[in-house]
Amino acid sequence: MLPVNSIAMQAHEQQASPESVLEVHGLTKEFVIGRWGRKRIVRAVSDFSLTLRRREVVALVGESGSGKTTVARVIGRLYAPTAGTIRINGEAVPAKMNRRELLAFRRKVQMIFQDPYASLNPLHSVGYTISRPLRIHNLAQGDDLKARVREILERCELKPADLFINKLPHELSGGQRQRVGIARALAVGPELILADEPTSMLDVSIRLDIMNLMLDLKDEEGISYLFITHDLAGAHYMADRIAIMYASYLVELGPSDDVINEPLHPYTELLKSAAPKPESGLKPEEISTNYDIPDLTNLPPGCPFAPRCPLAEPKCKVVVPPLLEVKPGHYTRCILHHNI
Amino acid sequence: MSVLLRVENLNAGYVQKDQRIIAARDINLEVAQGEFLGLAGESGCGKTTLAYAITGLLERPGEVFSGRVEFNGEDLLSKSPQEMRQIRWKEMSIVMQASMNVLNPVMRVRHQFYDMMRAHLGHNDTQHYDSRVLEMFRMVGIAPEYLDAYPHQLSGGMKQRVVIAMALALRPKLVILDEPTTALDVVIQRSILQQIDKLRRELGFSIIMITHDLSLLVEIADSIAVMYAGSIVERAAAEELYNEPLHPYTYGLMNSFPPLVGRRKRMHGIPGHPPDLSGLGPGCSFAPRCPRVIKGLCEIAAPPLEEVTPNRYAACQLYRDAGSRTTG
Ligand SMILES: Nc1ncnc2c1ncn2[C@@H]1O[C@H](COP(=O)(O)OP(=O)(O)OP(=O)(O)O)[C@@H](O)[C@H]1O
Ligand SMILES: Nc1ncnc2c1ncn2[C@@H]1O[C@H](COP(=O)(O)OP(=O)(O)OP(=O)(O)O)[C@@H](O)[C@H]1O
Ligand SMILES: [Mg+2]
Ligand SMILES: [Mg+2]
Repeated sequence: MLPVNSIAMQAHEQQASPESVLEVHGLTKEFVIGRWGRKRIVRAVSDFSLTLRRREVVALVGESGSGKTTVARVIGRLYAPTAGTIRINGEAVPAKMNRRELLAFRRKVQMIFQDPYASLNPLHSVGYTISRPLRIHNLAQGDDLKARVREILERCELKPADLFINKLPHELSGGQRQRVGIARALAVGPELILADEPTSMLDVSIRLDIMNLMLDLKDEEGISYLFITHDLAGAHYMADRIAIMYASYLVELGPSDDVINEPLHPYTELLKSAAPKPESGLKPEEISTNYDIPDLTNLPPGCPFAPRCPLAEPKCKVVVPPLLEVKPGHYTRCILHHNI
Repeated sequence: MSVLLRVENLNAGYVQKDQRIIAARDINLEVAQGEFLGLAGESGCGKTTLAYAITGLLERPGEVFSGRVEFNGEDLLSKSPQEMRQIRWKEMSIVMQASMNVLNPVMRVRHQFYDMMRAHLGHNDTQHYDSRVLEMFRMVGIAPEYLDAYPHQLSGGMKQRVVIAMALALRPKLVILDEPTTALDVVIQRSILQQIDKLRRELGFSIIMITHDLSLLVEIADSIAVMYAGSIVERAAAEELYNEPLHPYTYGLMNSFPPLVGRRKRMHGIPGHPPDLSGLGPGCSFAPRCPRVIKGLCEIAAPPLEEVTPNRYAACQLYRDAGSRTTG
């Protein structure tokens, strides 16, 4: 359906290597919305490529509605891709899986869902929610199982565990639910966690504890994370690399320090200017509220950010620029940085 | 300026096995017409419970145990559920923390707006409805193409924005926002808050915004109340709170933000964990975690929220003068 952009192929990082847990190549996902007769195609993800190494954290940051959750859901096998390939540990994930294969897949790849109000079964206690994956994957039984559940809860700052173990989701606050979602994903010791805004309802103090826990597990157990977040400072804190999305496209990818300290794409600049900066005083500068909302059912022909971009030139509005490496390991989809 | 909302000695929480868990304790709060009040505090400290108690949404086993909520001169706690339904959306609206989940999954977004407007405006002028909905969509940055989408076809942040649009559509006198921007990127978040603020200045409504994100509140709120373990422990103008947090808990919060720029380094939050609300002792509930705890005093008596300097309130032994310490 989508012509594979040949230049974008060059932007794809290294070839398959045993050290990469996840390789996504040329991923595209489309949906249909609207009434009969007025149906429209939403391109939620366009030509997305990313490789995640073992013990690596990549933060996926971007505009609301730009396709982050869709990327995670396609990788996590909740949606089928419209185009593109996904490899886990170098092996292509098949289009169809039987129950056993799916179980093996879930043992390796776990998701933390964005909405903690929709992703916990309202009838299941916290203890049951955490112990179920441990039992399904035969990881613990009896007293050992109980001890494991307690340990995971406490590590996720649900302390003391006995207070939470018998609670039902409706007896928990938003941030407590979020921590149950994190605990559930960590329980089976997966290799890859697709974490969709896992700490968005947590205050700074608990957020730091949870991020530190995720970093510790990365080192101890070799977990890799795709960490979707709106918190730029958190992304910088957690991630080795940061990927920025805008209107279905990956527009920048690079080492965290570089993306934050020397952003290349004008959208990344805009994000940075709008982020709260508690370290540098009160009133931030006003941002322009008068811009064209990107419409994924009808994207303009050129760079998706061009209609809002203060630096846009006529040539930006012709074709979608490829994602190219302009500094070592630092990629951007902006022709103003492409010396061509 | 006149007071729009007055909360007096409110106690609310949950009943479990005949035991009361008080999640909002002795709350006293005033919100003036046109004021933007921020309510901050740790996860699980009772912010949502307080918002539900004020709006009459607290359901069993949740309960308001005592106190008074006066809104626009009326006693809200004595109102029937039907009377509260008439007030909600029209006079006072709330964007719930579960907002991504409150939209009806089998109904197109447009019709959810229609239903709400029909119930409160008493006419059925869909053209009028549409123009208002589109105006709100524009404000929250959603393309009109999504008007006929079902909720599951929207991203997390788009659902959140639809609910913000609904809460503002009938121009209520008070808007309560419970973690309204958890799924929004910083640009859209800032843009929406800027526009809500502009609308507030034009129309003069009041806002209570609940968030764990103190760094956001210090930028946009007029005044801030900080909650810990069910109680308000500090209240001040946003700027003063930012410049000089009084309560050691507020101080700890202000110092746990990882900096945005510069090199990465490992940081730690406030050591310890919040207390179990069902078993609070007699002393200050922050004492076990407090770096400035006064041994032999803080664990024994819980300090009330008192005025420390004009219009600055704190519930902390550090700011009580010697006289009131011994008698209080
Ligand atoms: N099931 C679906 N059917 C139709 N459209 C969808 C569906 N899921 C997502 N979309 C559309 O795809 C686009 C990307 O959505 P996605 O949830 O991936 O965004 P996001 O980047 O996670 O945003 P947020 O930060 O707001 O959660 C949006 O325009 C959304 O409306
Ligand atoms: N139905 C219930 N039964 C028993 N306890 C409950 C119930 N609902 C909430 N609680 C408890 O009451 C306390 C306060 O919850 P509340 O939702 O008000 O917190 P919050 O400050 O909004 O937290 P967050 O920032 O995580 O949303 C929590 O410790 C929670 O576990
Ligand atoms: Mg999302
Ligand atoms: Mg809450």
